[in-house]
Amino acid sequence: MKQNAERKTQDAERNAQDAGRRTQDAFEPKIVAFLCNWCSYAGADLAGTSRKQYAPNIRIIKVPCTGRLDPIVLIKSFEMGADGILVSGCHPGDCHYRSGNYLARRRWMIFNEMLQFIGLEQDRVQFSWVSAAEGGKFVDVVNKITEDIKKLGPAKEYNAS
Amino acid sequence: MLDKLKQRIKELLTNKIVNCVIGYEQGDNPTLARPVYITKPNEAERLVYNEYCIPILAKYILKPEVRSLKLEAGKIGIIAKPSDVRALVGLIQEKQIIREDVYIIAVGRKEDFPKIYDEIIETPLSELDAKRKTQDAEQLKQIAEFEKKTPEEKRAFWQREFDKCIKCYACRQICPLCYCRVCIADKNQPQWIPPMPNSGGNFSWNMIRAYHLAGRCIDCGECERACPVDIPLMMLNKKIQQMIKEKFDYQAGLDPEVPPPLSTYQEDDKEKFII
Repeated sequence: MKQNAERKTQDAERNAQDAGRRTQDAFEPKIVAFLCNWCSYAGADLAGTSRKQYAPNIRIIKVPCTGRLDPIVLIKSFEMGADGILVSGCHPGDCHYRSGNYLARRRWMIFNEMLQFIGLEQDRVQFSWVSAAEGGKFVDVVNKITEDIKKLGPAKEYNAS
Repeated sequence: MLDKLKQRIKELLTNKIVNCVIGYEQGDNPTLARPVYITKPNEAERLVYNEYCIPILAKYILKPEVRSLKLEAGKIGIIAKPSDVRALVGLIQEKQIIREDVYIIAVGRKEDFPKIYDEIIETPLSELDAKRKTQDAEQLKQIAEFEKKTPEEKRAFWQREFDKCIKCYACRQICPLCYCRVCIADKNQPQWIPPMPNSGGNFSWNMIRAYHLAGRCIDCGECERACPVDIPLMMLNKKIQQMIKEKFDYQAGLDPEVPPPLSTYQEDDKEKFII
């Protein structure tokens, strides 16, 4: 009898804990990360081979160069249910194609401000430079954006589905 | 002034300097002027020029019918308002037309035009232009006011506006710089922009339209005029113009020799948001 009662209280405690964890972690954001083939993707790879832990919320899409990334791709991601977007490329001066990231930077300058004018939260779309040697920075960036977007909550407004 | 214009166009057509002139003729009612192609000297009598001559004519220079006329011989003449000339500058800059193929007959005040016209018929500031100038100033004030709002309010405002969109693409059809043969909105594999007028798709379309005109919009205001549901498209366009001016010190439609700001770069472009 005593054992049964103990087990019951244990079960109740465990259930309460589970419920608490479920509500606390109810929102796991979907974050799409567009990484350039030459720097940031290699940086992510380095983070992996160095056995570093980072938030599992990002879905990596490899692109040849950030200069290839049309903003419509970012908008499409929101439309298809992304809660946040990370775009990452080579540091200025390091582009494999010499000028891709410079061109991309200009576009982001306009696009980023445009998104704010429309009223999108500033942290929803984030941009970074991560080189192939910066596995640690990649981990930091991913953790930061995941935290930011968890705070913001899901992006329902522009979801077309 | 109209007589002078007709006279001049007759001369140009008789002397074979141009073989077609794009101008305006009287529309179906007195408050309507519609674009017309004049190819014979005696047809010049059909021309009108008044405060109802609003539609942008630079758009027509890219039509296949007009292009084929140009192939025969001679230039294409165009009766141009300041916005038309700015649009032509944009088209020359982007290699859509060759400067030598067009003969620009500017109508208006000298100081309003970029210096690429072939001849000018000077008129005082028209009522329409004066009205447009006050509207511009108002809109800039409106933007400054709007920028003070919180993201939630901004989002609510644009969502309300974009929800009106019926995806008729009139803004694209009228825009002198939207010249793609196959627009991204018409592509269906992959389908970048959903054809249904729902909130997600409307957001995509309006954002992409504005973005594709970043650094190219020549501020003619035709998209907003054409919009059947009155979305304040120029508010977005003007905001982007401001950004371009501020960041890259560039204004579209002034000099065909300068490359557009988003197809070039400086190594020391300043930004603060990239981590």
